Amino acid sequence: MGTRKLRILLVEDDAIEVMKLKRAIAKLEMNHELIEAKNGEEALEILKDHSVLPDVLFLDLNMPKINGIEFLKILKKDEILRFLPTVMLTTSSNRKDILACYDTGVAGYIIKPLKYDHYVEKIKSALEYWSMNELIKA
Amino acid sequence: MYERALAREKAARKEAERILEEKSLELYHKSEELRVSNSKLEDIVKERTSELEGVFENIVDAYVVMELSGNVIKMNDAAITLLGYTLEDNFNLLDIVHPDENDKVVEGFEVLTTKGAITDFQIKIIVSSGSIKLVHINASIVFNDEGKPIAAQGIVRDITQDKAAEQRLIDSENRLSALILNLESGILLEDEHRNIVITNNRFCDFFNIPSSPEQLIGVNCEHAAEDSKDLFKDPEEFVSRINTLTRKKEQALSDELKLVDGRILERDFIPIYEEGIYKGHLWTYRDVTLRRKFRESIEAERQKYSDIIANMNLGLIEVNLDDEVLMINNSFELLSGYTEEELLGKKAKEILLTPASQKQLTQENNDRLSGASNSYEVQAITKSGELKHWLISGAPNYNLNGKVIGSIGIHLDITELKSLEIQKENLLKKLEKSNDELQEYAHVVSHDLKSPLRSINALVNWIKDDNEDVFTKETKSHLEMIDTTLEKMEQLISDVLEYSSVGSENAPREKVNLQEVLADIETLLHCPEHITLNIHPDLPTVNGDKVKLQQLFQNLMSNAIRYCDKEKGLIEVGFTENKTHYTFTVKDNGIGIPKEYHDKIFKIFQSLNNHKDSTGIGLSIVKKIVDLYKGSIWLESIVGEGTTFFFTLQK
Repeated sequence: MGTRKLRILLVEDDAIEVMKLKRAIAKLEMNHELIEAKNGEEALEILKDHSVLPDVLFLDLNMPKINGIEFLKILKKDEILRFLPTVMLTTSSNRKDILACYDTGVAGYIIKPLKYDHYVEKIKSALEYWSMNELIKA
Repeated sequence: MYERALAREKAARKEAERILEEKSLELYHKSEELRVSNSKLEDIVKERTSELEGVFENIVDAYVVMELSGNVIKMNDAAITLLGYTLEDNFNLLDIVHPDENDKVVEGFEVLTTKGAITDFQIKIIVSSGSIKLVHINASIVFNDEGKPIAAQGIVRDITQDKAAEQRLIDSENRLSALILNLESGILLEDEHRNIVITNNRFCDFFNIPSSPEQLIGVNCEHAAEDSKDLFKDPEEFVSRINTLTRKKEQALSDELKLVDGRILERDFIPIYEEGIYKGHLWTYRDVTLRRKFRESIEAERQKYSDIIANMNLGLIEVNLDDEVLMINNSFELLSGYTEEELLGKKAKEILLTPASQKQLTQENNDRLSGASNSYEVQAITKSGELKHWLISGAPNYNLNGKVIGSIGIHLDITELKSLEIQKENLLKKLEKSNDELQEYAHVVSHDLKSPLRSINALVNWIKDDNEDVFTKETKSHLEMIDTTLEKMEQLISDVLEYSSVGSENAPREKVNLQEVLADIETLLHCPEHITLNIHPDLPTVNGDKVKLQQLFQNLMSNAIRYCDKEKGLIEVGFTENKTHYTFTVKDNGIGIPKEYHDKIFKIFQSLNNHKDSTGIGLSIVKKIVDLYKGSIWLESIVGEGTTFFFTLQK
């Protein structure tokens, strides 16, 4: 069963977090494409080009300027971008946050575990899941 | 001798014959005279009789002649009218006598026949119309020429009406005297010479007079005042007043007399004039002691309440139906800053209340008109312009006929209370906000603290991976220790977050089946092989938040597992119940807790052992949850043998 190559947009300001995802993908020997944005504005800039839209977005909840939920709300108001599956990648287990995310229309909510090994496991599952999903191509 | 005797006899006889002859002649003459005069007399009698007959026939009173048997043989028109019978009826008077009177008739006849006449004979008869009449009869016997009684004649008068009127008068007099006698007032009627005409029982009672009212009639009262003056508190005044009254002979009403024994009498003096001539006077005495005392006590009560009203700390205002002020008390003056003069007759609400409160008051007043008492809060502005909050308790005011004539409002200044209330509300809002903020803050902090831990863990991992072959065993163990430390740090952050969350979230209380909760915990805890978990199979269903109840049991049970030092560990969860509470027990056979720490362990960050998993927050969370459910928690423990935690939950 072949898995599709995913174009992933990671919105994350923490360099180590970016490295974690990169290394995880490398370690898993998946050839997904990772696009990086340091914050919400940068991500929106990238998403302006509708010809190269990502297949899935990983989003940190706590970001400077535009936070995760605000960013998600912007996407959901956009005619095209609202179809992009967006997954929260966060350490917050705050029930309020989780509720707000699902209320806004998040596609997934992954809590980052303490141990890197566990993190890799979760990322593996998530990427496998999304790579076998049928997605609405813009 | 014989011859001489014979001669004498002869001579005497002759003499006797001569005398007899003379006498009989004389008698003849006399009887002749008598006969003449008799016939004259007879004529006179006859004449008189017929004269009388004419009179009788024409007199207004009924005139009846009857035979001695009672058969009527003659009657005039008045008699016909009275009796309703005529001579043609051939009636007998004895037949029309009222049956009750038969004895009386017998007696009457007796008198009539023996004495020849009867007067003032009263008897009831039944006339032809059937009605009963009382008649008065004067009657006499009629003798014939030979002097034999042959008939009786009488005048009959109908006194039915007279008698009835007389009876009515007597009755009314009796009633009047009974009335006077038993009057509540003491009565003394004196004539112009001050002799007692009438008095009554009450008068005698009032002045302790030992005689009866009848005995007093005719007694002179000239010195009565002087004699009885000692009964009065002011004897001289009593005497002089009576003297003045009897001299002036003018009406004087309601004089008050105070008696030595404490009674108070009210006296009227009413002079009686007949056609302008003074005929005496009437004294009337009334005992008004009770009434007076009643009035005094009412007055005292009134005084008491007006004192209370004037001095109470509540502002009182009385208004009429147009909301115009009729009365305010001192406190209301203080409350409003206005004097009574400034408010009297004015519309209270327009002067005192804010526009919004005026509108409200109009509504409240309407309610009150229907007779409802109510209380409400208004905003008022005092004379000095300060805004005040008043609590008004209003009640309709009625007149004696029960009609609403206005209302009375009692005012309490609750400005301070109100500001405290507002303060409290603000404080609560602030507290709620800061609680929310704190909660938010705890989440942010924990997120911000946890993130670097993840980074460190990832970095350490990469270092390990990248240098697998280079690092010594010791270095690797140090890296392991970093991992362990990170885990502990992670746990600490989680626990602090959890602790801060208990009691902040107002999760709805629901029925929680503890059997399910404990089953969940059992799978979560990963209980080691050597420890037996013994959970009461019939744990109840309680009210609460499932997550918190799970935290509660889980923390106690994980502690029990953590501090087990026996080869065969035993943890038992049980419960007992009474009417209001469940008492749960979590019992272990672990290391035990020394007595001196029994209180301390519930305080945050108080871990007795530097256990790798222990953050010292677990029992604080337990305590906080138990407190939240208004239960209590305590423990029994023997060091080296084990510990039992007890906690209660309300049913």
